[in-house]
Amino acid sequence: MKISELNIGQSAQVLSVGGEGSLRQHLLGMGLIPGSVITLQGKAPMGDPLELSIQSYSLTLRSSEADKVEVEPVQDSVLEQEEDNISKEWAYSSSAHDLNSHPGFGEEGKYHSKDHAHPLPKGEKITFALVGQQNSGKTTLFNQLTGSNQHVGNFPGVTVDRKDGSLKDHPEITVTDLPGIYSLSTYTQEELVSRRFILENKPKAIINIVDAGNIERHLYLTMQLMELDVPIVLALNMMDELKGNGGTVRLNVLERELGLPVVPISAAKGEGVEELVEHAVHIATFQEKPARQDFCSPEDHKGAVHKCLHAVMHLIEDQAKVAGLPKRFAASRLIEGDQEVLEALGLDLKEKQILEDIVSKMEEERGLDRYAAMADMRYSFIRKLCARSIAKPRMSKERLRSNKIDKILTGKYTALPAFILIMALVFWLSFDVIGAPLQGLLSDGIAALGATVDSLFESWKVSGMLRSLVVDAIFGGVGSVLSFIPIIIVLFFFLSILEDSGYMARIAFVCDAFLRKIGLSGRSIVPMLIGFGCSVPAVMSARTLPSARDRRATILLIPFMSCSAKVPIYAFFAAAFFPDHAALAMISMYLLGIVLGICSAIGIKLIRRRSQAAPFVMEMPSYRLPQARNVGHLLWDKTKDFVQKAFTVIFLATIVIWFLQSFDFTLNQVTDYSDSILARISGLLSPLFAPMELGDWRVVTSLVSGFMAKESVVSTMNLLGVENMLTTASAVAMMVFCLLYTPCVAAVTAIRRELGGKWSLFVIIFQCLTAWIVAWIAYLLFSI
Amino acid sequence: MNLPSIIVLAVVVLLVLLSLWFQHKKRQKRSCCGCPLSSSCPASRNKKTELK
Repeated sequence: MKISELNIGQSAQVLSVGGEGSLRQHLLGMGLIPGSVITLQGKAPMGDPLELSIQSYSLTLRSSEADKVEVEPVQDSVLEQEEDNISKEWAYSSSAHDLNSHPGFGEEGKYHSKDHAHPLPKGEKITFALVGQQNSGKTTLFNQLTGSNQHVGNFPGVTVDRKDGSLKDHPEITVTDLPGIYSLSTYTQEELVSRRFILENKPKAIINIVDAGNIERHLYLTMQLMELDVPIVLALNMMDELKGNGGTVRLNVLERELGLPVVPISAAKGEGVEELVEHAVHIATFQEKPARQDFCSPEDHKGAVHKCLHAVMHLIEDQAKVAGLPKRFAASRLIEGDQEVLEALGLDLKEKQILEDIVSKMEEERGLDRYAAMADMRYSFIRKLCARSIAKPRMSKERLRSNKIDKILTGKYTALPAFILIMALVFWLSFDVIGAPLQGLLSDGIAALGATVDSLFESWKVSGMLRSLVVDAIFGGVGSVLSFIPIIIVLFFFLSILEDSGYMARIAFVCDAFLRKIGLSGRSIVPMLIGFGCSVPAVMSARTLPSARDRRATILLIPFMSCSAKVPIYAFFAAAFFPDHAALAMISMYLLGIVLGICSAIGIKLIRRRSQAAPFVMEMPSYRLPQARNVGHLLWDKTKDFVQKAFTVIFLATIVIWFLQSFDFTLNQVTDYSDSILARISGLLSPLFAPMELGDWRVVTSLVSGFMAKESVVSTMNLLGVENMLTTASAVAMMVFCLLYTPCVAAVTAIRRELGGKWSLFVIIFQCLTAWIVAWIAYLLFSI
Repeated sequence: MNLPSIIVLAVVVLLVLLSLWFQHKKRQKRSCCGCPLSSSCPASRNKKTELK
């Protein structure tokens, strides 16, 4: 039967995993292998995606992807019996002395021998690659190791860039934080480039971070890393949580079986990090590679996979040496059909035929296809290893707590009301209760400072032109932008709490079905929500989307979300033209933006009909209490970024606008703004806006100044006295045009950075065109 | 133009130069480091992370 046919809470055993390509390999790598047991935890409100419990974690999958997995329902009692059998079969039976003896990997002692050591030449720089699966705490550990303040979050895929840092107290040692990857296959570009980084940049050692509470799935990547023949130290993270839940790890057994140093740590609390550094430096200095790479058992299904792997290793030994690839790694990848490795090895036709024969024979003997057989071989080893070395509680406290909370936050009837309530609360607190009064205070403070400077300049008899430059342009322009800092800080405070707690992943889960209908992914909701605050961080946050298609579509829709800088424009017109229905007018603008965004998404979907939707395979993190340090770092980063922008881009833009507004083409200061360069240039655009009664140069100037920062529209309108020349219909057209026309220069720059110059130009033209058409329709409707 | 005006003008010019320099440094920092993992790298702009 199919997974979607299971009842909620029902467990089933995987019979086969259908589908093809790298998605199938990815699912196998995440533990969905024949024989594994899954439980259907729940469904999103629209019945899709599904939340599955597998091993000790939650996985979300769309029904269309989940239904490729054939399952057979099993009873809980059968499961318990099977677990007991594995434990009995593999339980460590040696003497207490053997159990407690420490193998001593990665340290001076019985394993390390000076005779066998191959230390790095003196003066050679030590470099570490920090590798681990998504949401394993890599960036938290990176911050601990290097003293950096990189952003961390309880949402898979926060790290989207490679980051380098120097080891604390060892400035000569470099640590590189790589994006989270589930395996070394080529499912995502991140996996491919992380693999290339390790093979080509050749870090002297790998620090592999593993979540102790979900060790089975994390060890899958460890086993692939061990095949790379690079020194590895295993950092067993979140040990505090495992112990708190009554679990424990026989570290010596784990260390002995894997043949590499294992250090228990808690990256969040900084526990065990010093010991980890000692071991990491030791293995890198003495180039102590894993003592074991062979995980295939000759007894397992008549040694089908074992024989196949070793035969392929012999077959490609010479070519692997020439290509500079570790032979075990190359053999595994070849069996799994890795084209990049196949090309790198340059096998001839005969060798390719032999390879195919060996793999086909293995498939026949094992009764599984090559991908499933390799995944099964790794997971068989992991299951046995975990049975011998790990005592874990049936379900962690965090998971139990998450399941209880999710009954409401992702429940069929409660998920959407809870989502709307939470988001309404965040925006209400950000824009009204906390943000607005603080913004008012800051705005008043800046205005008072401007007035003081103005009177000071007057007493010093500073020339009128310079007074206008400093007071009107710099204090007026930069000041109006700076006054938005409180709103930005408060909004990001709440959004970072939502992210750090793990709720963002639930929002993506709940909204996926609807967003998929309009050609987006559930993960697109996060950048779109941030877009109501400011388009710049919204565009940047789209990086967390794993597919380029979804990333592009999401970024193109962000300008439709009314950012906080447009609020003063709506408020200005609502108060002047609809004093009795001001709130309705403002809400209508927000809703119009959302509706047009949805229409555009559907349009993009229809144009790109051939493009397949990216699968929604996401690990659902457990809820955690947000850490004050993480939230603080994020707020500091955002504030710093915003202030930097205000004093660079906006500062320069304001001066340029002031210059164009204050001088004519002969560079004489104008007394009447209609003679200014800006008025002349704007006058050229005036005929375009004539059909909406917005053809006056002052209206056009206000709109042009909004390209620098949307806040400038209101200040320019005030300065030039636009309000008195508009009718109700033309005011509505102006509001709609401001809602939809080109994003500000900072947002366009962010789009250019993420998508390139052509797309940023497309956004400008597309938004202006849409704005003109919709504004004209609105004008016609209100003229009737 | 009196002395206070000249001082104010000098300060404004200095601020403009400082912000231009700051922009330039920021752009330099973001320039391609040769690593396709970096989002600022031109190679990564066109990276295809479409899932098969």
